[in-house]
Amino acid sequence: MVPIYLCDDEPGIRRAIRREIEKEILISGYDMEIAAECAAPEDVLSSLQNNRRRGIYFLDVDLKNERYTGFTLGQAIRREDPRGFLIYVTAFRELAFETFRYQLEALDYIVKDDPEEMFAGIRRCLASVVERLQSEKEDSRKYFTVKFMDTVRHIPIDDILFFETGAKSHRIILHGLKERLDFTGSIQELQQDLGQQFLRIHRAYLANVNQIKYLDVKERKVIFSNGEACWFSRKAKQELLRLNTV
Amino acid sequence: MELDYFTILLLNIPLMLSVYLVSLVLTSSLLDQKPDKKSTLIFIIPCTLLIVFPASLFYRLDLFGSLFISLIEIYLETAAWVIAAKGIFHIRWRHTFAAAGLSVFLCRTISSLNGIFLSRNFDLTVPRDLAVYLFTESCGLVLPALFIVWVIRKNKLSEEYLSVLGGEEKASCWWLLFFALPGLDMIVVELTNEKVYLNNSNPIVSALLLLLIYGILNYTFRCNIQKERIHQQMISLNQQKLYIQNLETVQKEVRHFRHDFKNMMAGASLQAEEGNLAAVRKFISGVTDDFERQVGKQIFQITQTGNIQITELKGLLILKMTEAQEKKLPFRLEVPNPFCDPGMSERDLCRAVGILLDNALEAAETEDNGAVTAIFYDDGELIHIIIRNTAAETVPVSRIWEDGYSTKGSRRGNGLPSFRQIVNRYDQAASCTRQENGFFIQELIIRKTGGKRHGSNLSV
Repeated sequence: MVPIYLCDDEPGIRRAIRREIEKEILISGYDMEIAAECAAPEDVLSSLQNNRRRGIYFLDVDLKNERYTGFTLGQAIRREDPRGFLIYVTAFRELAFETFRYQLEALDYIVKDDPEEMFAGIRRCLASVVERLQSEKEDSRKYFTVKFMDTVRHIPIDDILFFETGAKSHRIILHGLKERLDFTGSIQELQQDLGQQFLRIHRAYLANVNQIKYLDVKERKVIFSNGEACWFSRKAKQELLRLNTV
Repeated sequence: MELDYFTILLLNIPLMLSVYLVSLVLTSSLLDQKPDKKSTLIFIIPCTLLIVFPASLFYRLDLFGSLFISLIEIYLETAAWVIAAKGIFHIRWRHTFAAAGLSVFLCRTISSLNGIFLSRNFDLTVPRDLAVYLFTESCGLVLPALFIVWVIRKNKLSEEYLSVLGGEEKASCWWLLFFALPGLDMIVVELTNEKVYLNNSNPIVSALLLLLIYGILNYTFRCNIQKERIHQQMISLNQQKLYIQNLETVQKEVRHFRHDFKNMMAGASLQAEEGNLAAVRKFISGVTDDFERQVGKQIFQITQTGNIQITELKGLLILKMTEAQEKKLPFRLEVPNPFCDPGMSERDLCRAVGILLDNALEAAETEDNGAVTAIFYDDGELIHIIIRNTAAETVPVSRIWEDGYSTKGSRRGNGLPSFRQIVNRYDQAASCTRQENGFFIQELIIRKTGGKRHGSNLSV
C-alpha cells in the first residue's frame, strides 16, 4: 500500500481532492490509501514520523503557515522520505514549477481553479506514479550514486564511459553516455569501489572496459563506444590488449 | 684566461636557468595563472639548450657587436619562451607571443638597469670579472624580477594587460606590439648609443621605453574601461526600455481585460439571476483562464526578471529573451527568490551563463517544438543555474566538451571549453551536463563563500 498525504488549508479543496483520489483508487484498483489529510504542514510531518514507507504527497503551494511554504514543506518531507512523490496543488497557472522539479524532484502540479481540470490532473498524477513504480521494479540495472554538490545522482554503471581526474584537486570528471559531471572524490577510492568492470588505464583515467570500442595502439588511445577517446599508459597496455582479444 | 666553447656553454647554463625562472614568474603574474609544474620541468632543458648553443657560439665568434646577430639572439630567446609558455600555460598563440615578448623585454630591461651600477664593461677573460658578471646577471635578474612581480600583483596589472590583449573573442593587434618589444628595445638602444656599449645596454633608454610602454598600456586600459562603462550604461538603458515596454503591454492588456470583464459580468449576473449555476461556474473558470493567459504570464516573467539583482546578468537575460522572442522560441525564466550574490565574479558569471544560453538557444532553434528554460535559484548555501533546452536527438554529451567539437560544423563549438575554463577557475563551482527525457540540461552550481567543503562522498 502506498500512503497518500494531503495538505491544503482550504477544507473544500481538500475534500474534493480526497473524493477524487478515493474514486480513482477504486476504479483503477491502485494499491494506495489515503494516510492523512490535514490543513497544517506540521501534521503531515508528524504523521511521517511513524511511517517509513514511500508516499505520495499532494501539497498546497501557498500554505498560510508561518513556518512552512509549500516549497519548504517539500524540503522537510524530502528529508523524511527521499524517494516519495511530490505533487503540488496551486491556484496559479504560472508557478515556478521547474524550480520545484529540480530542487525537490517534484512530480507534477495541478491547478485548482477549474474542478474538471484539477480532477484530470489528479488522475494523471496517480497514473504516472504507478507507471514509475512499475518501471523501477523492472529496472535491474546497477547504479553509481554520486553526490554532485548537494544533490544525489544515480547513474547506471553501464552508461559510464570513464572517470578523469580534474584540473582542480580532488575533482573527478565523470564521462557518461548521457551526462558529464564533476564531483569531489578520489580516483583510487573509485577504483577500489567499482571493481573489475573498471580499469585504471592511465594515472588520470579509470575506464569502463565494457564501453571500450577499440584501441588505437599507435596513438596510445582508448576509443569508447560514442567515439570519445582518452590516453592509456604503457603499463595498462598489456591488460587492455588481453581484454580486447577476449 | 681564454674561454673555449664548452666553458662558455656551461657558464651560460645558470644564466639561462635564471632567465627561464624569471620569465616563468613574470608570465605567470602577467596572465594571473599558475604554471603547470610538470610542463615547467619538461621545458627547462630544451629551452635552455635552444638559447645556450647559438648564444655561446655567437659569443665565441665575437658576433654580439652586430645588431643583427643580437636581434637573432633575442628572438631565439623569445621563441624558446613562446614554446615553453604555450606548453606551460596552455593559452592561445597570440597570448603566448605577447607574454613571451613582454617577459623577455622585462628581463632585458632589468638586466640593463643593473648597468646603472656598473662603471665599465666586464672583461670576461678575467676570472674575477667573470664571477661578478655571472652573479649580477643571475641574482641581479631574479631579485628585481620578484619586485616587478610584486608590483604586477599589487596593482593588478594583469587585469590591465589581459584587457588590452582583448580577452578571448576580440581580435586585436596588441600582441604584435608586445612581441616586437625586445627587438624594439634593442634597436632603440642601438640608435641612441652611438655604438658606445656598456654591457650591451643603455639603462636610461630601456627604462624610458618601459615607462612609455606602461603609459600606452595604461592609457588603452583606461579607454577600454570607459568604453566598457558606456556599454554598461547602454545595456541598463536598453534594459529599462524593455522593462517599460513590458509594463506597458501588461497595462494595455489589463485595460482591455477590464473592458471585457464588465460586459461578461453583466452576462453572468443575468445567468445567476436565472439560477443557471453551471453557466456561472463556466464563466468563473473562463475569466480566470483569460486573465492568466493575457496577463498572468507577462506578470510572472516580469517578477522573475525583477528577482535578478545583478544588473549585468539581468541585461544579458533580457537580451537573450528578446533573441528568443525574435526566433519565436518559448523562453521561460524562473527566479523564485532574489538572486544577488553569485559566488563568482559577475563578469565570469555572465560569460558562463551567456555560453550556456547561446548553446541552448542554438540547439532549440533546430527543434520542431524547441523551447528553453532557465532557472536561477539561490538556496542560501548554493547557487543553482540550470539551462534546459528540448533535444529530440541524442547529443554526444561528453564529446561536446572537446575543443572545437560542434554539432554544427567547424568554426563553432568553442563555447564549452571556455565555459570549462571559467568554472575551473573556481574551486567552489561544479558543472554537469546531461540528457534526460528529451531535454538537454546544463547545470552550474556554485557554493557561496563560507559554505563548508565536502569530504569524500562516494557510494556505490
